[in-house]
Amino acid sequence: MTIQQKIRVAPPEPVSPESKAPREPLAQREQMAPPTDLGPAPVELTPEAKRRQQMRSIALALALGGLVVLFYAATMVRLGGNVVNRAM
Amino acid sequence: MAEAGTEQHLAQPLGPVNVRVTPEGASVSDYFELMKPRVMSLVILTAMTGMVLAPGTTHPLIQFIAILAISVGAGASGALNMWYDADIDAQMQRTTSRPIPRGKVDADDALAFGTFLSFASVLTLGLLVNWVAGALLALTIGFYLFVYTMWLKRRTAQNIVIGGAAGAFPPMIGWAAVTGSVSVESVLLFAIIFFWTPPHFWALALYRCRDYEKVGVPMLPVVAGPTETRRQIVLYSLILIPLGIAPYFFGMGSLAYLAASTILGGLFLKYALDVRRITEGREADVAAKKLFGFSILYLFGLFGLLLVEGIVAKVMA
Repeated sequence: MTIQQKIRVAPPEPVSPESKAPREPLAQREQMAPPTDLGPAPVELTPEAKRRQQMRSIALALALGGLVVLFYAATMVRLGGNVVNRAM
Repeated sequence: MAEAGTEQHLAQPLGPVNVRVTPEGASVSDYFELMKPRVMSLVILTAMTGMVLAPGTTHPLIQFIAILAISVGAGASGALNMWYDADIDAQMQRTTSRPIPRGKVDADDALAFGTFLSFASVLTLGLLVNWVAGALLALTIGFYLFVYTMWLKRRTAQNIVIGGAAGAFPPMIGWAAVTGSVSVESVLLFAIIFFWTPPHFWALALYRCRDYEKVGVPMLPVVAGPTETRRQIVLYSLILIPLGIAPYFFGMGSLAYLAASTILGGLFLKYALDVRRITEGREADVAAKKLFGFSILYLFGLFGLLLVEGIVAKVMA
């Protein structure tokens, strides 16, 4: 059996009256299009929302940076001179 | 002190808060507000007092870390309290402007924020200072969230009596941060705040009674009535005043402290007796507000004085 013989051609579907209705403009069709694999469209933040997000990020970075410095400094203080006294 | 018969099960929680978060999102100050900065300032003062009065010394950096961790831990429990109580906060005049009811911070974000800060503060205190202090801070946060906020606040008129322990722990944690232990002196500092809490909050509840009634929080004036509340305020004040003077007899304060704490105690009792005496009309609310305001001054005064004297004594030594 050839490949062509395996392929069955389906009979044409009857065309409903709705499908003959005039189609929406292109822009409108794009809006109604189902979500693709790329996911939903990104939310556009307002300038104020962007500013607040940036400030939150800076505060978080400063807090984490401060914590690192604090742990480093406290380790030095607690170990004192013993910081160099280790088995080689 | 409050009668067991006053315990009641009033209205259950109103359900999850349904507030639309504002599109511009939360600012850094909104998150800071979640930490109840005014409560934090009192925690910082009392914890520093405990640390300064404790025998012995630690490196200033370790002291700074201890204060930072204790205040962040207190802030974390404040954020978790606001997350859990967002439903009633939205209904009460005093709390409608908090970040969650105002739609500034999402309730889930407040939960994540409070949880992260709780673990971070306890681990920092435990790892960098000592684990006795770390364990006490964990106990404080857990007590405030699970015992006070979730269990007692909406179930019994004893809510702030027992729950007040959470606010009384900071000087004990400060003390433990230096000594690694708990002593009679630190228990005394705990007791001062513990017995200060009921008259302080009941004075507030007297003039905010309708707010609490509306949301079903069984504060003493709602459950037992204003007359019984006024009687309890005077009784707790009578216990508080000698406790406020006691640090002098434990060698924690000078003669100046003895004089100041006696005067402050006398004024506290006067305001409490005014609340007991003036029971009708707008004057009754004014008397309650005066006691509420003075109670804050009283606690700041006692601990501020102990702190200053403690610092001077350590510098002179």
